[in-house]
Amino acid sequence: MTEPRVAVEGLTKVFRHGQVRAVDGVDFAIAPGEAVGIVGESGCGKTTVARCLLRLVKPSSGSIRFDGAPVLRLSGKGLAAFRRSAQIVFQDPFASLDPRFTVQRTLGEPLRVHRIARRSEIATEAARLLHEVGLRDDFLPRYRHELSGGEAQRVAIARALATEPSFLVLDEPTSALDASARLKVISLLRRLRRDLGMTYLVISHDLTIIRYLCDRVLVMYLGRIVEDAPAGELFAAPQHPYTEALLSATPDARAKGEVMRIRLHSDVESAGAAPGCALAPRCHRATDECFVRPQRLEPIAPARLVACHRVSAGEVTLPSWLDTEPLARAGEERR
Amino acid sequence: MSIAAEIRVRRRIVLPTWASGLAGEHALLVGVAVLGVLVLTALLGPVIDSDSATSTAYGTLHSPSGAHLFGTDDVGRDVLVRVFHAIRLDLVLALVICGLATVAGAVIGLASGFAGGLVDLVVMRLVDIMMSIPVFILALITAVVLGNTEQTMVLAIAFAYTPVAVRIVRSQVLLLRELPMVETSRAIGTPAWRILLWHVLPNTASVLIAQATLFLAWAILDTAAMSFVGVGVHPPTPELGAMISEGSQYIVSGQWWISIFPGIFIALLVVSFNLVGDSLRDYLDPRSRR
Amino acid sequence: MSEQLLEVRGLTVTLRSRRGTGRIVEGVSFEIARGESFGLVGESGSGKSMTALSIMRLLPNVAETSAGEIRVEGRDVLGLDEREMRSLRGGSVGMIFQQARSALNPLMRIDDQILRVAALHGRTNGKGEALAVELLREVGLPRRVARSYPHQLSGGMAQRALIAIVLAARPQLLIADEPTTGLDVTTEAEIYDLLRKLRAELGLSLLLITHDLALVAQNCDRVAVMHAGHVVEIGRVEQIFERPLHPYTQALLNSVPTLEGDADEALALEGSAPRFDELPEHGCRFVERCPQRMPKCGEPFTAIELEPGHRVLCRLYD
Repeated sequence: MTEPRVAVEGLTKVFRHGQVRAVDGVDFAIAPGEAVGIVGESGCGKTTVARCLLRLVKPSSGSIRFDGAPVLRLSGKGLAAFRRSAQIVFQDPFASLDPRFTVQRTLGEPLRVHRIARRSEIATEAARLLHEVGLRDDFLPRYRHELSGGEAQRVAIARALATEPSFLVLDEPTSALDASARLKVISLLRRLRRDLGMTYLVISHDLTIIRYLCDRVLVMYLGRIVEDAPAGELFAAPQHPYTEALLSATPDARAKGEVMRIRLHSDVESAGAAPGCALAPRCHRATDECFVRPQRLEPIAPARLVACHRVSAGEVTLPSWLDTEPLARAGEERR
Repeated sequence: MSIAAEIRVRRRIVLPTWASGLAGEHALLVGVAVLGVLVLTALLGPVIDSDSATSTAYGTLHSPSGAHLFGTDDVGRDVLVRVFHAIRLDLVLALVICGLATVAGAVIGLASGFAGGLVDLVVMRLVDIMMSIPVFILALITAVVLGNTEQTMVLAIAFAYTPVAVRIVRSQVLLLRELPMVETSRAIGTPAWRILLWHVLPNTASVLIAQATLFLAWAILDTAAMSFVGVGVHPPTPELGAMISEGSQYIVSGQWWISIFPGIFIALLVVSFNLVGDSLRDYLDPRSRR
Repeated sequence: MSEQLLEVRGLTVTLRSRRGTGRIVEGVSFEIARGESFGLVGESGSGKSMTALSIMRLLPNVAETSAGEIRVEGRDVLGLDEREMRSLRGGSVGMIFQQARSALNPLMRIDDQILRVAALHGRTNGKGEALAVELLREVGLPRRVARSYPHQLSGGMAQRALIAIVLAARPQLLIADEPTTGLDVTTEAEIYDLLRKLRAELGLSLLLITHDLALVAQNCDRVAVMHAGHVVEIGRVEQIFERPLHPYTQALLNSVPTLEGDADEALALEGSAPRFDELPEHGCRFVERCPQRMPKCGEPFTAIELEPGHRVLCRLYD
C-alpha cells in the first residue's frame, strides 16, 4: 500500500470557547492522485476541515499528515516545503485577488516567495501559468476588476499552480460563477488533474460539481462524516438518509417533472445535546432508537462507510449489486 | 458585472443630479482650487517680501487701505504680509502633525490588528482611554507636560490624533485579514510582514489618505487654538491663532482687521481641507470600488 | 387577452453611465397567465433582473425604460402615477430577493412587518395577530417566529418570513429574483416546495428569475432565455429543454452540470457576452460567440414562431 498523501485522524475544531464543535472527530485519508469531495450544508464543517488541512486554522485536536510529515508540527524548511506542495483555491475569485495587484504580480507572489523564478523571469513564468489555465498573456497587466468571474477564478487557479503543488484544495471553486464559466472551470480542473497528476480535495455543497471532479465523496453533517463512498456508488445508491436527502434536493435539468422528494424536516432547532444521531430530529427514517444511540462510521461494503445504525444493522436494504462479502478485509485495508 | 458595479456606485447617491455633483467631484475641485491658491501665496509671499513680516515700519493700527490691504496692527506691522507668513507656518506645522499621526497610527494599527490577542486588547484599551479625552484638552495637557515650545505642541497634537488613525487602520486590517486574498497568501507561505506590506497596507491606504487630509484640517484649527491660548507658537512669530489672540483686544475699540483676517484664512484652510478630505473619502471608499 | 396577468411588449431599458450608454434590455416580450409559473433565465448581466425591476418600476436612476409596454391585469404600468404604482407594488405584484435577511427590517419583529404590509394594503380589519400567525403557518413557519427579529432566523426561515410578508398584501404575481442563491440545496428545495404549494393553494403566478436552468426545469411551465438583453428563445419548458433551437440555449443546456450522463460530453460555451456599452446597434448579440454564425446575423431581425408558443430569435430558422 502506498502512503496516503493526506491522512487526517480525530480532527476536531471547537469555536467560541467550546460552544460550537465545527469539526468533531473526523478521520479520512486521500491517496496520491485521488480526488476526494466533501459535501454538506453550510455550517457542516467542511470548510473548516479544509482550512485545518492547510494550517490556516489551528485545529483543537487531532493529527494531520502530509506525505507522512506531521503538518501541525512543521516549521522552517519543512513548513515552506508543505506550503509549496499544498495550495488552495477559494470560492469567490474576486475576494481572493488583491484589487491593487495586476495578474502578473498576483502570479508573481508565490514565485517570489518560494524563489521559483528570478525577478526577470517572472513575466515569462506568469505567462506560462496563464497558458496552463487557458488564458492569453495579454491578461498579465490587467487588474481584477478587468476580469470576468471565470477569468478571475482561472487566475486564482494559475496562482495555486505556480508552486507546482501535488495537492490542491478547491473550496467551492465554481459556486460564484455563471453557468458557462462554471463548466469551463470544471473541465480545466479535470484536465489539470489528468495532466499534472494532482491530488484534489473539493469542498462543495453542490453534488453535481463533486460528481464531475471526484473519485470519492465524504458527506458531512454537523461536523462529522456520515458517509464515505466512491462517487459512482454514492450517486447510484446513497446509503445514509442525509445523503439521500441531499441528492433528492439537488435540482437536475434533465430529470424534469416529478422528482423523487425526500425532504429533511426544517431547520434544526436543538442539535448536539442529544446522545443519539445528530440527524435524528430531521431524519425521515428515524426511529426512537436513533435519538439515544450514538452513531459511528462503520464499513458496510468495500470502501464504503456509513454512520447510521439502521443501515449497518441491515434494516435498510442495500442494492443487490453491492458486494458485502469482503467487508472485514475492506475495514482492515482502510487502516 | 460591470453594470451591477456601475449601479452600485450610483445608488449610494440619493441627491438630485446637480446636488450630487456639488457634493461629489465639484467639492473636490473647489477644495483643491482654494488650497492651491493659499499654498501658492504662502510659498510666494515670503519669497517676494522676505523680511517685512516683523517690520514695524508701517504705522500702527491703520485700517485696510490700498497700501495695506488688511491694514496694520498695534505695533505697525502689515497684517497681509503676516497672514501669508502665518499660513506658511501653519501649513508646515499641520503637515508635520498629520505625517506623524498618520505614520504612527498606521504602524500601531497594522501591528495591533494583525497581531490580535493580548497586544490588540491592550492597544485598543489605551486608544479608548485617549479617545475619551477631547483631542484639544489631551494635546493641551501633553504640551504643558512636555514644555511650552513649538516642537512639543506639534508632538502633542500628533499624539492626540494618533488613536484616531490607529482605530481606522486597525478596523481595516481586521476586515482585510479575514479576506480570502490574505488567506491565500498565507497558504502560499508568504511571510506575515510581506502580507502586511503587499496586501494589507496598500488596501488601507485609501482610507488612511482621506483621514490624513482631515487631520490637516484639524491640525490647522488646533494649532491656531493652542497658540491662541498661548501654547506652542509665541509672538512675534506670525501664526494665525496667535494673531487672532493679539488682535482680540482691539476688536472692541473698532480695529477688527487684526483678528478677522487671520480668522477668515483659518476658516478657508479648514473648509478646503475638509472638502478635499470628505470627497477623497467618498471617492476612495473601497465599497464604491470593484 | 385579459386572462394574461402580466404582459410585457417590446420592453427596452437604456442604461446611461459615465462609461457609456447601452440598451441593456431590448425588445423583450412575454406574458404570464394567471396561475402560471414563468422562468426568466440568463447569465449575470443578461438583463433578467432589469426586466423584473422595470415591471415594479424600481430601476436604478441610471437606467430607464425607453420603449415598450408593461401591463399588469390590463393596467399600463408605465403610465401609472406614483400613488397607483404603490398599490401595484406589493398589491398586485410582490417581489422576493436573494439574501432575504437584508430585505427584512432588522429592528422590527416579523409579525409587525407582516401587519404593516397588510395595513398598507387594507387587509387587517382588526384581526392582526391572527393574520400574522396564519400567514406564517401558510409558509410553514412556527408560531414563535412571529415574535422573532430577522437576525434570529436562519437563511431559509428568513426567506419564508419574507414570503409571508409579501403574501400579506395578497399579490397576484410573485416575482422571485434568485430567491435561493446562497442557501443550501436542502433549504432551496424546501423553498421551491413552498412556492409550488402557494401557487396551487392561492392561484399565484410566479416569475422566477435565475441563472439555474435546472431550477426552471423543475419549477416552471414556460421559460424565456435571455442573453445580453435579448430574449433569444421562449417557449414551454419541455419545448426549450427537449428541442432547444437557439445556439445559446443549446450551449447553455449543454453546460448544465447534472447528476447523470458523462461529465466529459458537456460542452463549454466560448467567450462572454458583450459589455453593455459595446452592444451591436442591431442584429444578433450572440454572434461573436456563435458556432453557427452567418454574414446576415448582423442585420436587423425579429423572432420567429416555429411551433405554437415556441419563439426563437435566430436567423438559422428563416
